[in-house]
Amino acid sequence: MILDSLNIAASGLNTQQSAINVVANNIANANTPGYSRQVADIATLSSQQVGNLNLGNGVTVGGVKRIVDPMINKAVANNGAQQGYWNTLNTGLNSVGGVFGSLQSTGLSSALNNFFLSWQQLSNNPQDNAQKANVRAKSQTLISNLADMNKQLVAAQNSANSQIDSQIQQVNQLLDNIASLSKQINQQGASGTANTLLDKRDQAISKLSKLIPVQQVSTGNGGMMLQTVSGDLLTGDGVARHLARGAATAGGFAGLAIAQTGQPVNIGTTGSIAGLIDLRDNKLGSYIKQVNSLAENLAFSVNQIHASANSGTASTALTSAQTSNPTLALNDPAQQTPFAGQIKSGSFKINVYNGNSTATPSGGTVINITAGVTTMANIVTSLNAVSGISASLDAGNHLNITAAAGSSFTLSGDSSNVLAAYEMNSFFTGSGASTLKLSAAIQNNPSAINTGGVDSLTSAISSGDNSAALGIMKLQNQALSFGGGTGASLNDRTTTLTAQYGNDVATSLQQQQYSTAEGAALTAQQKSISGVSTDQALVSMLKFQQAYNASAKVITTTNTMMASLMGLIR
Amino acid sequence: MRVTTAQLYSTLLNGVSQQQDILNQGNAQISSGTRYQTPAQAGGLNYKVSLNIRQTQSELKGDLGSIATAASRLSSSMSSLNDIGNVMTRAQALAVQMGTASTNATQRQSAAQQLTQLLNQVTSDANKKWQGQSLFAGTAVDKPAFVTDASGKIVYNGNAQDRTVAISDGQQVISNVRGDNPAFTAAFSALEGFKIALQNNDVTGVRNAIGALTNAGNGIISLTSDVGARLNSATLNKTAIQDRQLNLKKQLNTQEAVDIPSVVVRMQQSRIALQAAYKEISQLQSLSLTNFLK
Repeated sequence: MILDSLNIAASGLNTQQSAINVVANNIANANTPGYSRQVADIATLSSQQVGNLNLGNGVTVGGVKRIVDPMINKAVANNGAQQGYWNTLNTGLNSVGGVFGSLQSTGLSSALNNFFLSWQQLSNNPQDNAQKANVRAKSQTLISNLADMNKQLVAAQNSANSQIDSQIQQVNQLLDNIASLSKQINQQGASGTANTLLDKRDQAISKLSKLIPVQQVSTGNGGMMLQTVSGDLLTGDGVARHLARGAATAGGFAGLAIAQTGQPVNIGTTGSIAGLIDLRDNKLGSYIKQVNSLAENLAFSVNQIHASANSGTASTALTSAQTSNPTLALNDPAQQTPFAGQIKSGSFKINVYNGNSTATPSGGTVINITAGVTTMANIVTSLNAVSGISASLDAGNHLNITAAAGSSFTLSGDSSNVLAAYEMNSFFTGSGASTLKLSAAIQNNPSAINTGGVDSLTSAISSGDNSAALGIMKLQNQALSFGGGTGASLNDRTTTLTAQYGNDVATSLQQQQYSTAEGAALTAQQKSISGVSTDQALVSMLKFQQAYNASAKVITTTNTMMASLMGLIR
Repeated sequence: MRVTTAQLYSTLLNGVSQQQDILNQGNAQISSGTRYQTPAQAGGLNYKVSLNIRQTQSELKGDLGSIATAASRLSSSMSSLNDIGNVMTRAQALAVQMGTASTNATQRQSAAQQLTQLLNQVTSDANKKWQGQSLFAGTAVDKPAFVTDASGKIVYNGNAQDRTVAISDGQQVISNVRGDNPAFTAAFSALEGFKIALQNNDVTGVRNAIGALTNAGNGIISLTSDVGARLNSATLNKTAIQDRQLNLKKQLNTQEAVDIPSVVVRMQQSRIALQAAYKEISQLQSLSLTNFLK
């Protein structure tokens, strides 16, 4: 019986020693990310019946438990997806902040104001070449601003798209890791020795949640199935299904799909990949669309006025900047010019002047256009019927009008939009922000800028006529809607674009701060359950040390007792 | 709630980060003098208001330039018209003098030569250029406003289009006086009639010219008054634009300027909180049980 005391005390020594080991491991991992504190599961050994007595057999460590709250862990993972989304969006939006300028240099807005101011100044002195040079300079600044904005936004959009690829790889690595860990956990059993693996898997799921939101389904014995929010299986039974790029949409970017099946996958609206998709398609995509719509409206509205005007002198030759298919109607959608759809039934006039600047016939010759019927070949024929000029299509199918020797001509009163659509006598060429340029004639010589019209009855040209310059100046606050969409002035379009960007940043910042605060609160809760308190660990250590000392004392006492017993025998 | 050591440090670190952010924002506001500089800092609507104010400022700057052009053009026109008016007055006086019975044919011939000079002066005034452009030729600024036709008559050579300058609110201001105004025709006609009467020693014609010259002179005075009124209107327009510019400056200041005292107070509060957080971080270590275990 006395030997039983020794065995019981020995079990105490072993158990307290193991418990101290667990405490030591907790203290060692106090700052390890993803570590969940562990506790020794101390249990009494089965008692034995001796006579009519039921005597205890000592103590043992039944296992080492991981202290976690699955509910909190899931909440932290969900919050991670929210934070991932808003952090990505906010960072992405801030990265293009320079594109929208600052109060010191308001960028596009200031360039647009200066463009219209230069036209107003030109309208005061339309024959002044210095003012025309100023209009050219301000126009080039505006063109350059639009092109830079578009370039930077497109670059940011492509960068977001590349980041999606890189994050898909991260997702796939994490899915592989989770699948492998699940297999190992399954082999080791859900409890006891698998604690470290469970921590690693939780940490991997937490990292994965920041990229894409996932649903966790426990399958027993430590197994776990992960699904997307729409129920697509990502990993289960130790097998991972990878994400990949799916088919590209027309004019857009490729979506996401399951690599093994090619099936499109819905990854939900949180997580940093969803943030990148939103940034790429809805934020940057919208800004790019607006910048291009602004350029398109600017180009066509200015060209509409400019094409029917003159610079104070008549021309001897003009060439359209856009090509045409002479066999198709001018407004046929298959025509290459982006503004073919703006052509309608109407007419324009060609006024031909002799060497004395006298128009013949007085008031010009009307060239009629019927939408859906008239082709560029018809226009050439109509123009060739006018004496004093000749018209032709060159090898590239550009319309050329040339005055006969000693003659000159002007174009006026285009109600069909054909001149503006084919960029004949135009101010700008191109339509989008990336293609917009000044016409070659104006680039070469600012005096080619048109400022006035011709007298509709006499075809007379007046160098002080500023009607075209005034018309262009007034475009600043006129609602325009070429290319569809709601009509808005160029100024409104600029300020709305900047305001939308400001609102997007403000919203993303607010949501980022909210999700970060929520994340901090959830992490605090998680830490209060699973984190290591060194004070608590030290108190536990003292408690186990005390018990260890007491067990040792039992052994010493038992030993003394045995010595006494042995003394009796001697 | 169970609190871990890492949590204590983490909470304090978050606090330090927040206070540093407040100080950083405050420094940016104080150094720029504005509440915000970028659309990201302003949020959309505030920045839009700033851009709209700036756009209006740019428009008003253009309007002032347009008004200055109109005023300068009208002022030059008025100067020429005043000169023509003076010539008409001189011609009237001459007509009265030459219409008396005591004036003889030689004196009238001599007066006819004087009148040729006066007529040349009026023609010169009527063909006056401003910045190299004909003042009274309408928009045909590269042509002289008046030329002598085959019959030796001075006729209008410009066009019937006015020169306008635009103001951004859509208003267009006529900035010229056209030579086809009846006052010019009447002045040339009266002077030419008077000259012929003098050359012909036609006393009745000379006496009749007094009335024609008076009417033509009145026409020029009336036209000059009209230009004067338009100049006054331009001045009023200028004053109104300058008032609007001043208002916009105030509006811009209210919209963008930072309330420095409140920023300084907020930064001071933040500094105190930051110091307290630093102190707490330094003291946290001494409060560990580790320090009490010997």
